[in-house]
Amino acid sequence: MKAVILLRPFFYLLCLFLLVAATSSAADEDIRHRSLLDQLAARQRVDTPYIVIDTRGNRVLLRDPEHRVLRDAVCASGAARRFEGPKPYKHNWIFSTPKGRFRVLRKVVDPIWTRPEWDFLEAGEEIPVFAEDSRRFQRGILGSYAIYFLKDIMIHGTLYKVNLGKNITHGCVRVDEQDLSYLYENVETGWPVYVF
Amino acid sequence: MARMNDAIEAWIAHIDSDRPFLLLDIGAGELRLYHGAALLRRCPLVAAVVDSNRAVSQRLRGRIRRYGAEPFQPTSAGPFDWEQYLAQEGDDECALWFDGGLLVYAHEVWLPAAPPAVRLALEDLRALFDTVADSVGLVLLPAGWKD
Repeated sequence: MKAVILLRPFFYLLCLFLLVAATSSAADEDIRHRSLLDQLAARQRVDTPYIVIDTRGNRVLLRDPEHRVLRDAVCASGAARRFEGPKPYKHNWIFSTPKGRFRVLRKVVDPIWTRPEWDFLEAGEEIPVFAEDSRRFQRGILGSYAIYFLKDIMIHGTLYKVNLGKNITHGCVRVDEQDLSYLYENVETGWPVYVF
Repeated sequence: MARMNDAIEAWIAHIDSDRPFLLLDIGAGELRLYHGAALLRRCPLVAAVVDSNRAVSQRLRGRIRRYGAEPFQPTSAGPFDWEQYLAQEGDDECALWFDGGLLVYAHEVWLPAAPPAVRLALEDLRALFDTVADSVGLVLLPAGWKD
């Protein structure tokens, strides 16, 4: 009994110490929380609007730096289809839209389509020998504008609106004329393009 | 509070890594796909059972695919090589499994799913299944993180 009475002050001191430690830890976490929220707010903001291309849902979104949707367009994207050309030449293509982060490289008015070799092969036509051959170039196929985000891959218009919303293209992203005009007028070179 | 802070710290680290990652925001009822700071897709949760002691930062352990009447098989170790070759895209019954034990699914074949588990709409799950790379990160954000 005497020992309990003697140890009581030490017990109270221990309780006080634990209480102070717990309060201090909670305060530290609270300070850390505020600091992290500030850091997160700074990191979440991006410098420019950006384009998001959803190849599964076939949508093109233009988002502002606060991630709000400025434009939501239906598109057609890569079919993920394999195409093998004539055996002797071992031609082999997979028509899918590349995924990842890219940038708007250039914007073109009234673009001319340079027909790739696969287009001649699919059509059963002979591939022209010379790069300057007029059969390689077609005007009007791509719509009024083209927004390139890779050397040969772009957002462009379509003659076949019925195919919008489908995975049907050779890799490019097709949108209708109104969405294409909006994107051309509002997107700037260098803005990020995310494809998933 | 410490767990919440760890989750926010992991989120910031993923933004800095500038790579795709998933964020499970329990409070908002959403699983979101990001690439760095850019928001790529919002997937509303159909159902979620996540206990509060799970790791806030997880990695994708396997894309799980169902082959007929056979048990669930990770695609990397499935018995049907030819089928894996043909079918790369997710179907309705596929699921994502993370190393913290979280299961992300959509189809009712997974019911009753043992916690922690999150159910999405079919279209959202298929989109994520096709998109995320192996070992993609996931941040589990507890409810009330903004308070």
